[in-house]
Parts: sequence; structure tokens; C-alpha cells
Amino acid sequence: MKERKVPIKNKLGIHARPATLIAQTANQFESDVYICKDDIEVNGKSVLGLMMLVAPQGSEITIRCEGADEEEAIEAISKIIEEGFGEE
Amino acid sequence: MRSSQELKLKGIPVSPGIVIAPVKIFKRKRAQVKERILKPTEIEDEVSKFTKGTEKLISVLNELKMETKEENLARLLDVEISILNDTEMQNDVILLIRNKRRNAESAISSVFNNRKESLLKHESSYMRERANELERLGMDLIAMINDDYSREDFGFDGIIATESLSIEQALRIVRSNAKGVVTEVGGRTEHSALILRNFEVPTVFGIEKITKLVEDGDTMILDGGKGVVIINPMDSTLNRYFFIKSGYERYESGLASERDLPAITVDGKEIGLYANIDIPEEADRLLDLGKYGIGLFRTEMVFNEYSSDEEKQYQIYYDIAKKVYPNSVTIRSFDVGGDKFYSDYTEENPFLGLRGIRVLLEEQEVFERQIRAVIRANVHSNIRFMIPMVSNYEEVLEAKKIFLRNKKLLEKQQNNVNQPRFGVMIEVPSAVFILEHIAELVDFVSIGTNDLTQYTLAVNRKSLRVSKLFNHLHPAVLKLIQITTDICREKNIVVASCGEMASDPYGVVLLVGFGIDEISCPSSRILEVKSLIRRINLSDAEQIAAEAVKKSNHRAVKDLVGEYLKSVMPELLEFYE
Repeated sequence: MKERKVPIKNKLGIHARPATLIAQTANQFESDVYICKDDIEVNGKSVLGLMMLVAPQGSEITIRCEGADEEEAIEAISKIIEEGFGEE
Repeated sequence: MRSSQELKLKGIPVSPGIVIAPVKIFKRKRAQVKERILKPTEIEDEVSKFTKGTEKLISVLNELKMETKEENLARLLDVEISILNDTEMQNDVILLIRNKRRNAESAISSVFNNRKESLLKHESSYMRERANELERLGMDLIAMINDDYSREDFGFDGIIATESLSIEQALRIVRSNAKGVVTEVGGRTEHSALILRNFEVPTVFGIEKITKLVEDGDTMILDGGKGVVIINPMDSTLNRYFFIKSGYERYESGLASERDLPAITVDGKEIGLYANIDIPEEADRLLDLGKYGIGLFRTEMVFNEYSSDEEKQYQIYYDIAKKVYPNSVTIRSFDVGGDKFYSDYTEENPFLGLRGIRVLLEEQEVFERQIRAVIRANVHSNIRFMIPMVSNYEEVLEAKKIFLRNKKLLEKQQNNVNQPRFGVMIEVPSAVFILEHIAELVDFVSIGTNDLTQYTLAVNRKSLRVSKLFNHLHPAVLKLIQITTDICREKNIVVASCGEMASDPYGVVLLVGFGIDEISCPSSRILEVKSLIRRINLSDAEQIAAEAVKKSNHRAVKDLVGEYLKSVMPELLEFYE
């Protein structure tokens, strides 16, 4: 199991488009992907789940990946979050 | 209730053209969700209705996504596709159908509403926005499952009637075979209106209850130039409109015959004629109309996608400048409100709040990124850069400093930096009264008549109750324009005009009379404006403009100018109101 904390950098946080980007990326991997914020944990492959996270700019979320390709999955997902989803 | 009588309804003219065609009602917003308990034998059929519908729609949306060149639309489609693909959502819906025997629509509605409710428990406006977004996506999906949203809607070649229109829908419509659009709400200056106008889809907004008054397949007459819709037309009315329509088509082809001629008055003053555009694609269409520059490139669409991406912006600005060369393109800096930067920020009165240059000076990184992209893109020296919403001298001074500082920085990094011409929008009355000072800092100004009218008359043009007080022919507005053109002439700087007035025939006569150098209007109006300018005598127009500022109200101005229009271009009045 791999776990990593990453900060939310874009102004609008995880709204529909970033949620879509995370889920699309997560779905490319076999591993289970979970995203946690405070005491809520959601399925990283579900857009609707991701939108439930209260994760505005400046907050920190935890990515957890478990499975054969967990290493690659956590790298790919951290990258798009750290890049702020290409948003301001 | 559906009416069986002929009914003539007046709304807001959004995009000109006459269409006589069957209507199709486009229900999307808040579709009625009926809850039903399924019989045990129906359960698996309902599950398959949901899964098959979802699959079909994913493929339809994917197809649309492949076809579109519009990145904004592609991203919106991406979100919808991912929601449809969400296995957690699918499982929740299927569980409700199987275990609670709920029909698919109400199961979807529950799944989205539950999530929405839990978001609403958080007080912040940040989460409320998320909740609204979720609700909208849920309604989309229900509409999709109900097949209201199927591909056939876009293959339909009649008139689309709908409650309201999002930008996304407008973009879909311009790529479809639809011949016309009528809505219940919306204003002329909304983005969806601009898109429909630029792609010349005849459109009328603001016909109350239109989706209730007609049924699919009813014949409708839509006159986009006059903002009129006629339902259940009698044969005599139909015949009359077939006659008007053929006249309109003759009129349009008459305009096209002047395509390659300059916009020059009878007595020899040439007016620079330019187009307003919102999305880069629109520049391609301009080439069909003859060679024109762009007098107003609104960059709010660029802002939404690429405010933090200098390279992408550079590419967009560079491509447009290259396309219109040797003509120029005026790039207006981001004209956005403070709410785009601060998610918890709401303005009690946004038009008087943090907006335009006021935001840009607070969010300097974003401003500077755009400035650098614009300067770098000015390879052919045909770019102008324009600042929106200035009301104070210091703002222009500060913006100019930032502009020049970035130019200097770029000069250290690369050779051949061409400084774009620098200008401001004149759209706040205070800027008019200090223009002699502002003029020292700028190469040109462009009068934004929509906002100038709004700020002068204290009327929000989108207000349901007072928008009828909005009129750019109000003598107070005309006086401000007169002062502006006088000062610009004295200071020898270029004065342009963009906004509705520059495509309104009455406004064009007055602007020419005041001595405007350049006019920028939607591409769909360019040929008409040119034909009109070619029939105007500058000396007549000057006299009319001088008379107009002495009138007591806009009606008197309209009569005065109307008299003249009737004598020089009577056919125009037939098709414009």
C-alpha cells in the first residue's frame, strides 16, 4: 500500500472538472484508489465521490493506492493534483 | 396551455433572420421527475433501460467530443462522460432500482440529491457551488436517460424552443442543423446570444412560457431581427412571411454584393470596420465576409481555460494576429469580476464592484502573464491591447507601468520585441470627464456603449423590471460620446466604438456623425453596417448628431435619425427594429 499527502493548489479546489481528471487517471490503473480528507474517504475512481470532498485551495488531501500498479498510480495522481489541474 | 389561435409574441431580438419551420421543445432544465414503484417483473427492464441509456449516451457524447474543435465544449463533455461512467453512481442507482423498486429517473434523482444535500450541510459558498454543480449534472443525466437529449435533437432542422440556453447548448446548436432558436429567458449580451449571433442562427429570447404554448411539430414563424415569434400562423400570415423572407434574402444578397468594397461615406470619409469576437474560431468566418480586422477580442473564454498558462495564451493571440494580418486585432484584457478569483467573495452590486481593471491590478500575476503573452505574440506589429472598465487616471497609469515593465523584461530575454499599441475602454462616465488626461497615456480608446449606457442611466439591462429604460440613444449617452470623440480628435488619438450601438443602424449614423474613426460589430452585422456607411453623407450625419444631443429623450432621437435612415436605406428599416 502506498500513501501520500498532497496540497490542493488551484483556487476552486476539487470541482467537477478536477474530479473528472482524477477519476479518469485513477481508472487507468488496476489498483484501488482512495482519496481522504479529514475523516472522509472516497473512491478515487468515482467522480461523484470526489466531488463530496471539502477540499478548497490550501487544504491537504491524502492519496492511498493499493494493488499491483500502486506505485505508478500514486505518481500519476499526485502529479495532476500538484499541477493544480492546469487551473489557476 | 397550448394555444390554437394565431399569436404574435414579442421578445428580445438576438440574431436576425426569418425562419418558418416546425418547432421542437427542448426540455432540460428541471425535468419533472416522477417517482414510481416498479412491479417485480419490470425491475430488470428498468435496470437495462438505465444501463443501455447510459451506454448509448456515452457513445453519443464521445462522438460529439471527437467532432468539436471547441476545447471548452470538449471539457464539459468530458465531465458528463465521466459521471455517466462512474461505477459508484451506477451501482447506487441499480441498487435503488433492484432493492427499492424505484424507476430509473427517480433513482438517479435520489442518488444525486443525497450527495447534494450532504454538501449543503457545509455553510461555505464554496460547497454550495459544488452542490449546484452536482444538481445540474444529475438533471443532465435524467434528461439523457429520458432521451430528451439524444442526438436527434441536434439533427433536427427546425426551430428549437427552450426555457434557457447555456453556452454549451449554444455551441451544440451552432454545429447542428437547427434553423432558429427561441427561449423564455436570457439577454442580448449573454454569451450564448453572442455565439448564436456570430454563427447567424436566427434567435429570439425572452418569450415567456413559449415551451408551454407550443407542441413539437407546430409551425412557427420566427423573425430574429424584430424579436417576433408567431405561433399557429394563419395561411394569410404565412404567405405574407414567405414574401418578407424572400425580400430579406434578396436584401442579404444585395449586402453581399458590396463585400469587397470599402466602408466609405458618400462624401469620402473611410471608417475602419472591424469585428467583435469571443472565441478564436470566429476569426475564420470573417474571411468569408472579406478581409477585416478584429476591433474587440473578448478574452473571458481564454481566461476561463488558460489564465495561468502564458504559452497557451501566446499561441492563441499569435494565431489570431497572424490570421487577420495585415489588419489589426484589439485584445481586450480579462473583463471578469472578483468572484472568479475569490471563491468566498460575492459582491452586493457586482457592476459597481471588483471588476475589470480593478481585479487585474489586484491579481497582477494573471494580468502580467496576459501582457507578456500579448507582447510576445505581436510578431507582425498588428496587435493592440486594451484595458476594460477604467474609471480613474491612476488605474491607467498603473496598468501602463506594468505593461511597459513587462515589455522591458521581455527585451532582456529576446530580440525584436514589438510594443503593442495600448488603449482603454471608455465605458464609465468618469473616464469621459478626465479623458484629456488619460489621452496622454494611450494610443487609442474604444467606447463600450453597453456599459457606458448602463453606468450613465443607472440601469441594469438584464433587470426584468427596468431594462426598458436601457437605451443607448438617450441624449445623455450621446453627449458623453460627443465629448469623447471631440477630445480624441483634439489629442489626435484613434477613437473606436464597440458594443450594441455600433451595429444598430441608428447608432451607426450618430457615431459617424460624431466623428468615430473605427466601428467594431458582430461579424454577422458587418455587411449591413458597411452598406449603411456607404449611403451616409458625413456632413448630414454631423448635422444629425449635433441635433440629437439637444433632444430631451431617446424617442425624439430615434425619430430624427429614423427620418434620415428612411431616406438613405429604407430597406434596412424593414428588417431591423
